[in-house]
This record gives sequence, C-alpha cells and structure tokens, in this order.
Amino acid sequence: MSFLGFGGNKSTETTPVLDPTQQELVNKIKNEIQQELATGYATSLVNALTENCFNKCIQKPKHPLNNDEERCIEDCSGKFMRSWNIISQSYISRINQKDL
Amino acid sequence: MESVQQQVSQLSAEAQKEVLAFIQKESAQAKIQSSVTSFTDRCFTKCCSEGSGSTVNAVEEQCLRGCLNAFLDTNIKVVHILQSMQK
Repeated sequence: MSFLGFGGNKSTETTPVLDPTQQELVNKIKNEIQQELATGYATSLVNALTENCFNKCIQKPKHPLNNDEERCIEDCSGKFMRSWNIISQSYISRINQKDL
Repeated sequence: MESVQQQVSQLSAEAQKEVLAFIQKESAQAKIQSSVTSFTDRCFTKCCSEGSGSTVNAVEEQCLRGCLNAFLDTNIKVVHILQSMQK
C-alpha cells in the first residue's frame, strides 16, 4: 500500500529462508493483513472527509446535491488530502526530532 | 476461508516470527497514519474551513503546522502534569 506518500513496498528485507510452502503461506497472511489495514485506513479517511466536507459544503441539506455543492465537495476533498500530506510531513519530522 | 489465526497456527516458529515482525511494522505505520488522519480532521476545521478552492494557501499551511504542533505540545504537557501528580 502506498497511499498519500506513505508506505510503499519495502518487502525487500532479507528474511531467513523458509521452505516454499511456508513462505507461500507467510506471503498470503501478509497480504491479508495489509488488505485489512488498507480497508481500515480507507474507511477512516472517508469518514473524516465526509464529516468535514459535509459541514463545509452543505448549508441546507437536500437531495440531490446541486452543482455548487458537488463542486465544493470536490475542492474540499482535494484540500483535505493536501492538508493530510502537510500534517503527515510535519508530524513525521517532529517524531524524528529527539525531544519530540 | 481460513482465518489468519488458523493460518498462523500452521506456520513454523521461524515463519511465525517473520509474520510477527511484519505485523509490528505494519501496525506502527497504521498507527501513524491514523494519527495523521485524526490530526488533519481536527486542524482542517480550524484552518481550512473558510477559503474555497482545492489548494492550501500559505496562511492555511502555516495554520495547519501550528495546529499540529500545538496539539502535540498540549499532549506532552498533559503527560508531564499527570507524571508530576503521581509523585
């Protein structure tokens, strides 16, 4: 999973040699775990986006959304993602400082 | 489909070790990601709710960074307060 500048496949680390059937099972398990985490991540992102952009863009809730609202949600989502990247970058650089 | 738990029980000790290391690495990363999402959630409202458009301008960016650091400062401060109460 490489999403929003995070992660990427770093599975190049040297691992002790396992027999092929074991290795196959290990890879399968790793995949499932990654899948689960990615789903959880996507869910929380969708929730945060919906909450923020609904509050920002929808003044008088009605169905269906009008063009201005659709447009606002698109902009808001882009802005949220950009904000996510800024926060992520600042947070990681702060974690990497010794005194935090 | 077998659960991960069932699958893990079929692994050798060596292989389990590898899976465990993988889980630790991935969950550390997931924890950071989820913190970032929650910080963004918090600070976006404060810093980006006014301006329109999909870009983050310089003022907003500075606000986001300040918001994050203020939150972390608060977190550290609270921990210190609790620590001093224990003594």
